[in-house]
Amino acid sequence: MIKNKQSILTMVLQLLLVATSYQSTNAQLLDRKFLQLDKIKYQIEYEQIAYPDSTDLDFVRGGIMLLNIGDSISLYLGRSLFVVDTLTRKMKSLQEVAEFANQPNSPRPGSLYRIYKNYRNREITSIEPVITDTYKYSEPSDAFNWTIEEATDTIRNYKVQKATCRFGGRDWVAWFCADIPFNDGPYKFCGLPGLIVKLNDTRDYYTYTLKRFNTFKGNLFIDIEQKNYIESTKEEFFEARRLLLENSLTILKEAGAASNTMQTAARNIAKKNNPIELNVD
Amino acid sequence: MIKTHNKILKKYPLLLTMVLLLLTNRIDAQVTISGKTIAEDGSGIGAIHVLVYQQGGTSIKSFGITKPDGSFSINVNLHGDSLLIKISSINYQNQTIVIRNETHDTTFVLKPDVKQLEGVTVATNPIAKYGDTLSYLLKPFVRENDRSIEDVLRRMPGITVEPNGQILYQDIPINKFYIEGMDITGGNYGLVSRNLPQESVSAVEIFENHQPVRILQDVQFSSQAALNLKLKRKVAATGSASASIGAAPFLWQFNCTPLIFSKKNQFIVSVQGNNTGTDLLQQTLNFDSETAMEKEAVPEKLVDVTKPASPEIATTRYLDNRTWLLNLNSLHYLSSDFQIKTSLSLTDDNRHSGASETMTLFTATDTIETKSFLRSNQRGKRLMAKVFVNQNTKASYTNNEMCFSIEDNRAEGISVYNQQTIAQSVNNPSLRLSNGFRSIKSVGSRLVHLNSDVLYISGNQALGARPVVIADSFFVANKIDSVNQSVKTNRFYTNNSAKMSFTFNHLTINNEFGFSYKSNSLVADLLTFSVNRQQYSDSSFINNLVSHSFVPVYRTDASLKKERLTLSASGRIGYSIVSMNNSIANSKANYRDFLHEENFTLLYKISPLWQLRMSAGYSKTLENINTIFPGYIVSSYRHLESENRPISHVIRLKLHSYISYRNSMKAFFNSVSYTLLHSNFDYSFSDQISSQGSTISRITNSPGHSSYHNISGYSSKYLRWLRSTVSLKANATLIKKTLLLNQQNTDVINRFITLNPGLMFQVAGWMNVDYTGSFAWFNSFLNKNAGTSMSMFKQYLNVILFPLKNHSLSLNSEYYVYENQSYYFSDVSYQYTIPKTRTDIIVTARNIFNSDSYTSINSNTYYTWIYKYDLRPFELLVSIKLYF
Repeated sequence: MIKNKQSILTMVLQLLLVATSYQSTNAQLLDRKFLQLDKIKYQIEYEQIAYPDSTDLDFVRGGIMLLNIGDSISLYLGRSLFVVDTLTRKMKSLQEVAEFANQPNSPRPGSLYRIYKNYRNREITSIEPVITDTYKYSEPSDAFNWTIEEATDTIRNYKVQKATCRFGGRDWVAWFCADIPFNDGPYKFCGLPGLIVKLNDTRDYYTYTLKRFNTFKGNLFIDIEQKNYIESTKEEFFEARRLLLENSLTILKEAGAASNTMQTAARNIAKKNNPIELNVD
Repeated sequence: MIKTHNKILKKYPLLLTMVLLLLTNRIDAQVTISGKTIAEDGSGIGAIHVLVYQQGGTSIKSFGITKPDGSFSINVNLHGDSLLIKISSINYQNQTIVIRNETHDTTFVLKPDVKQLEGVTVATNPIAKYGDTLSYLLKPFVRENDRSIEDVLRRMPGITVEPNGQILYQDIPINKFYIEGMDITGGNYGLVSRNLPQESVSAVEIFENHQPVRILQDVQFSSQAALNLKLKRKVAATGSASASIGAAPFLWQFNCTPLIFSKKNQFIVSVQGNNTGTDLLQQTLNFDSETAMEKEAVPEKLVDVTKPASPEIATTRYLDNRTWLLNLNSLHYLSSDFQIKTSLSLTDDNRHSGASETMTLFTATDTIETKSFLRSNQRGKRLMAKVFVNQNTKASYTNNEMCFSIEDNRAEGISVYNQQTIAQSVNNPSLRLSNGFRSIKSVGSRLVHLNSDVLYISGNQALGARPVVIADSFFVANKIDSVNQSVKTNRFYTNNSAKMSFTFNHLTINNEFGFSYKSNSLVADLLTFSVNRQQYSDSSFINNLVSHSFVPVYRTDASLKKERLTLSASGRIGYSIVSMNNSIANSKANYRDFLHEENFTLLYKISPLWQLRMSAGYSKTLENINTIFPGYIVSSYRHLESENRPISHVIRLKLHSYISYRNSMKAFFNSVSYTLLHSNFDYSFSDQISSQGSTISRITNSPGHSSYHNISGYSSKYLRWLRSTVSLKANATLIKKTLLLNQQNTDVINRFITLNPGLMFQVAGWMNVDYTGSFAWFNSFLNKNAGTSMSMFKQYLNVILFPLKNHSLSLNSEYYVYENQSYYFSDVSYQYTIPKTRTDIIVTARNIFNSDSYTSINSNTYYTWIYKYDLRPFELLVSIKLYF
C-alpha cells in the first residue's frame, strides 16, 4: 500500500527475507527436525547500534540481539528472529503459518544469522541464509587475540575491565565483567574471562551494550535444525554473501522491478558497505 | 585443595632462593602459570576462567580459559612478589590462591556449585509500561529540526523507521497504525507518519502482541505490535502536494492530499489530475483480485470501436490524456469496537489514441492483408462509493463492505480503411452494486469463517457504425451501410460459504462448504440501415436470453510434509444445475452434471542446490455461460459474432514441472520448466473470413480441443572479473487449435520463440548499466503449411547513476529496426532531494529523440496485427513534491 518507490524494493527484498526467515523458522508441523543442544539458562539482551553505510552517518540501525546461554553452548540471534521462531513453532497448521507469514506487515527479522558458541570445543558455528540457501561454517573461538588493559569502569552497575583485539578488519574495545563468568559476548565475540557488557569498534560503527541480563525461566532449548546446509568455509560464505550483494540488481530485475525501483535498489546496495566483519582475518 | 609440585625447591632450597631473589628483582620477569582444572573424579573440566591479579590489585592482569581437558597455560609478565590466581566459572565454586610470582604448575579440584547470578534490567527512559501497552511521551524525544511524527519515531528506543517509511517495533513491522485508536489508512500510513506534524501529537503508544481481530486474540498469536498516536488537539490538519509543469504542448500534473483527524472522525481527501500520460485509473481499479465475485464483477464488453490493443510500454510514452480524480475517505467510530468507513471516488478520464494497423489473416487457402488507420476518443466518468462496517469484539468479528458504482463510458472512433472512413461510436453506461460479508464465529472449540458475496451488475452497450464491412448475406443483399447494435445485460450473483480447518499431526485439512447462484440476462437488438437509409431487421440478429445457475460446492485441501518432500492436494466437487431460456427461439436448455477439479503438487529438495517441483491438475468445469448468445451481434464495424454454443463443460489437463539449480556460492542460477495445458470442448469455433478482412464467428457442435506447450529456461552467472552478471532467458511456446476456417477444418499451430540475453554491469559503486535484448520469432502453420513468420529484435539499455548524495540520474533507452528503419527512444530522469526539507525536485525529459511511432506485433491463431502507435513528442517536465 505504500506508494513510495523504495517500498517496492523493500517489498521484494522483504519477500526474499520473509521467505527465508519463515523457511528457517517453520515448525515441526513442517516435519523439520531440531537437535536439542542445551537448555537456555540465561538470556542476555544487547542493544545494537550500527551504521551499515559508512558514508552516511544519518543512516543508523538499532536492534535488540539475544544471547541465550546454556551450560556448554550459547546461541546469539536477533530478538525478532527468536520471537518469530518461537511463535511459529507453536502453530499447529501450515495454514496458520501461511496466514501469519502472509499478513501484509509480516514480521521481518532484520538479521537472520544464528551464532552458536561451543564453550567446550572452543568453536563458533555460524548459520546464515543467502536467499534460498542456508550456509553453515565454523571457526575457532580462540581466534580473538585479546589484550587486557588496566582500565576499569562501572557499566550498568557491573565492574568492568577493558580489553582490545583486532577482528574482521576492525579494532574492537570490549568491557567485560569477571563477576559474570561467561566466556561470551555479542556476535562472535568471546574469549574473555567474563561476559562482555559493552563492545564497540574504535570508529563506533558498531556498538553493543548490555540491556538486560536474566535467568531464563521458560523451558526452551538451544537447538539446531537438522537440514541440508551448505557446509562451507568462512571464506566461501563471505564470497557467497558478497556475490549476492553484487548480484542483487539482477535478482531484482528478475523479480520484475521497475526502472525507478532499480534506481533506488542500486543506491541502497551501495549503502551496505560496512558489515561487522569487513574481511576474513 | 592445592597440590604444588615444586620438587626442585624442596631439594635445593638455598640455591633456588638466591635464584628467586635475583629473578624477583628483575623487571618484567615472565613466568608461566600452568595447570589443570579437574573434577573430584579426576576428569578435566574445560571452559573455566583462570584470572591472574597482582596481589592487592583489582584489575585482571592476565587470564586463561581452560581447554576441554582442563589444562591451561598463562604467561604472566608482572613484577611483585606474589600473584593472586582466581578460578571462576558459573557451575563451580570459585577458588582463590596466592602464589609467588614464578612459574607454577597447579591442579585445581573444582566442586560443583549453583550460582544465582542476579539479573539486571537496564531502566529505559521516559516510557511507561501498562500491561501490553508502552506509552512514550513525545517531548523528551523531540529535537529542534523535527517536523513530522516520523522524525521523532526514528529516535524512540525499540522503534525503527525504514527508509520507505515502514515502521518496525523490535525489528518487526507494526500491524496497525492508529490515530486515536482509529485505522483510516489501512496500511498506507506513510501518508500520515510523514505528513503529520509532531507538534500535534502528545504521545505514542505501542500495543505489544497486537491481534487486531479480537476474536482471534487468544487463538492466533501475533508477535506484531500496533502503534497509536494520541493527538494533542481535537482536530489536526495536514497533507502533501505535488505539481509538475512541462512542454510542449503545455503539460500539467497535480496531486493534493490533505488529511484531517479528530477524536472520532478522520478524513483523507485526494485531488489529482494530469495530461502527462499518467494513467490514474490504474490506481483506483482493483480488479486483479482472484475472488469469484471480482471476476463476475467485470462486465463482458461485447461491442466496441475498433482500436489497437494497449502496447506494453509505459502509458507516459503514448497516452494522450486529460484525467481528473477525486477521492474522499472518512472513518467514523460509533464505539470502541464499531466503526464505519466510507470511500467516495470520482474520475473523469479523456484519452485519444492513434495507430496504424496492418492485419493479416490466414486461411488454409488464402492470406488476406488489410491496412487501416485507427483513431479514437474515449471519455469515461465513474462514481464509486463504498461503505465498510466493521464490528470487532471478543465474541465475534464482522466486516461488511458495500459498494456502489456507476460508470458512463463513451467513445468515438474513426477507421480509415480502403480509402473509406468509417465512423463509430459506443455508449457503455453500467451500474454495479455489491456486498461482501466476512465473519468469524466460534463453534465449540473451532472457529468458523463465513463468507457471503452478493453482486448485481447491469450494462447497456450500444454501438453505431457507418459504413460497416461485413460479408454476411443479409448485409450484402440489403446493401447495409450502417448499424445500431444494442446489448443489455443484467446479472445477479451470490456466493456463500463456511470454512473450518482440522489438523492431525503433520496433516492439515481445510474444508469449505458453500453454494453459488447466478442469474444472467442478455437482450441484444440490431438496427440496420441500407445506403438509402431504409431500415432492415432480421430475427437472427436478436437475442433474448435468461439463464440461472445454482452450484453447491464442497472444497477441501490437504498438505503433508516429510523431510525434503512436500505433497499437497486440493479438490472441489460441485453439482451444476443450469437452465437457459431463449425467448426468440422459444426454447429452453437445461444442464445438470457433477463438476470437479483436482490438483496435486510435489516439491522435492534433491539437495541444497537442486530442487524439483511438479504439479498436475485435472478438471471438468462449466464453460462461462455469460457469453452465450445464439443471435448475431455486430461487435465492431468489421466483425459479426455469434456464440450459439450449448451449455457445456470443458475438460482441462495441466501438467507442470520445474527443476532448478541455484548455487549462491558461485552466483550461478539456472532453471528449466515445462508446462502442458490441454482442453477439450463440446463445441468448436467456425470463422468465416471475407476478402476484405471482416470476420463472422460462429459455433459448431463438433468437439474441439486446444493444447499449449511451453518450455522455458533461465541461466545467470555473476562474473567477478567483469563486475557483471550475464543472463539468458529462453522461451518457446507452441499452441495447437482446431477450428473451421471458411468451412474448412483447419489445424492452426502458432509457435513463439523468444530469447532475452542480459548484462548487468556495475561500472562503479555509483553507476550501473543494464542491457537487455529481446529477440522474438513468431511462426504459424495452417494444416502443417507455413502460414506466416515474423520477427522483431529490440534492445534496451538502462543506466543508473547516483554520483552524489541526494542526486540520482537514470537513462532508459530502447532501440530496434523495423522495415529497414531504425527507431530510438530515450527518457532521462534526474532527481534531487533537498536535504532536511523532504522536498523532491524531479526533471524528466521524455522521448528525447522525438520518435513519432512505436511498433508492436500481436498475434492470435490465424491473425497477426502490426500496430504503429502514435507517440507523445519530446517533452520536458519539472516536478516538485512537498509536505504541508
